[in-house]
Amino acid sequence: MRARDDRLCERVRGLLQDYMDGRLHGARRRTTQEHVQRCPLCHRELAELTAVVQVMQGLGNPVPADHFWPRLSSRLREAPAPRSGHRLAWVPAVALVLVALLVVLWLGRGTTPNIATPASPVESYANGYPSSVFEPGRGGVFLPAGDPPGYAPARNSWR
Amino acid sequence: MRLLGRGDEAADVETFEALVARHHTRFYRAAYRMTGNEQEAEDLLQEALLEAFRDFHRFRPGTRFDHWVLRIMTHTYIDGRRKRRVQAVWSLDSPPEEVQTEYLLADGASDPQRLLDRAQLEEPVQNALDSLSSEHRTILVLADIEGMSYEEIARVLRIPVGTVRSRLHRARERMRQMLAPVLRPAGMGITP
Repeated sequence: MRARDDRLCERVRGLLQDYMDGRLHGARRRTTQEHVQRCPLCHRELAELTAVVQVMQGLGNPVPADHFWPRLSSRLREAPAPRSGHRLAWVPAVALVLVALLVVLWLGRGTTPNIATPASPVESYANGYPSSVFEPGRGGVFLPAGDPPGYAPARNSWR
Repeated sequence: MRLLGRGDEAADVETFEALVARHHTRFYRAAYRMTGNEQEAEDLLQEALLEAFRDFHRFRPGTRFDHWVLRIMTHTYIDGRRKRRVQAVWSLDSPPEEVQTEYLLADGASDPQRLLDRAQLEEPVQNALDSLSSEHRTILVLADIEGMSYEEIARVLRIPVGTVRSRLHRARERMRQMLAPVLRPAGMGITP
């Protein structure tokens, strides 16, 4: 019986603040109310919690020093104006970045090293074809399926 | 309705000041109860109001200006406390923060009339408040001093109502434990 009461006390104590704040309804509210009326410990705990809230509500209204509001008023007038509230304020910044990116890409196009400039018979051959057929890193020429029109050299005869 | 933050700076300041004037008691009271002293309360309130003014274009007329400023103030306060805590860890010279609770248990309980005087309770209550974490103190101030509902606090602090409830309950329980020796002999409380 005692253990049952202890469990009920524990449960009710977990609900005391909801009860005090008027956030308990129905059966839980009734159970809490009945228990608090007959259990001196829970009754006292509720009374103390209520007293804490009452004391907090009754605290005085402190006031700042006399110079506080005038000084704040001056600071507000010196402060930067409220920022623009336009929802699309970020658009110009993004556009600027995009333009800058395009300019960089466009300028970068002209500075790509021209690798297809060997001073050899290969030059004339390679120049007649799309650059993809010439692979300078490999030290030779990969011939396409067909020769350039009007050109029929012996394969690597210049060596 | 005039739009805010549209270049008419003098008008913006006047509109802002008019709104602040309506709630200035509440703002300073909340700042004072959070910080626990005049100097810090003034610093906090000034910082919060200057920040609010810079962000004035975000305030939607027709919504609660006081709640909007209280949100900025609570975030400013909690951020400030966190920074100070980090600094304190690195400052070996600074003395540890003392929680003055001894006098709460002292003899004053012998005179109920004296205890019933709210002015006498001001200091113990403020000291008990100061001993709470900034998160718990903020919620307690908003709920029990400013009288805001759980839902209003949840909106202001942008946290779930369940978090408001659990923090508030923990904060009150801690206050009860600290203040019980002072309050009990005075017979404060209600009969349920």
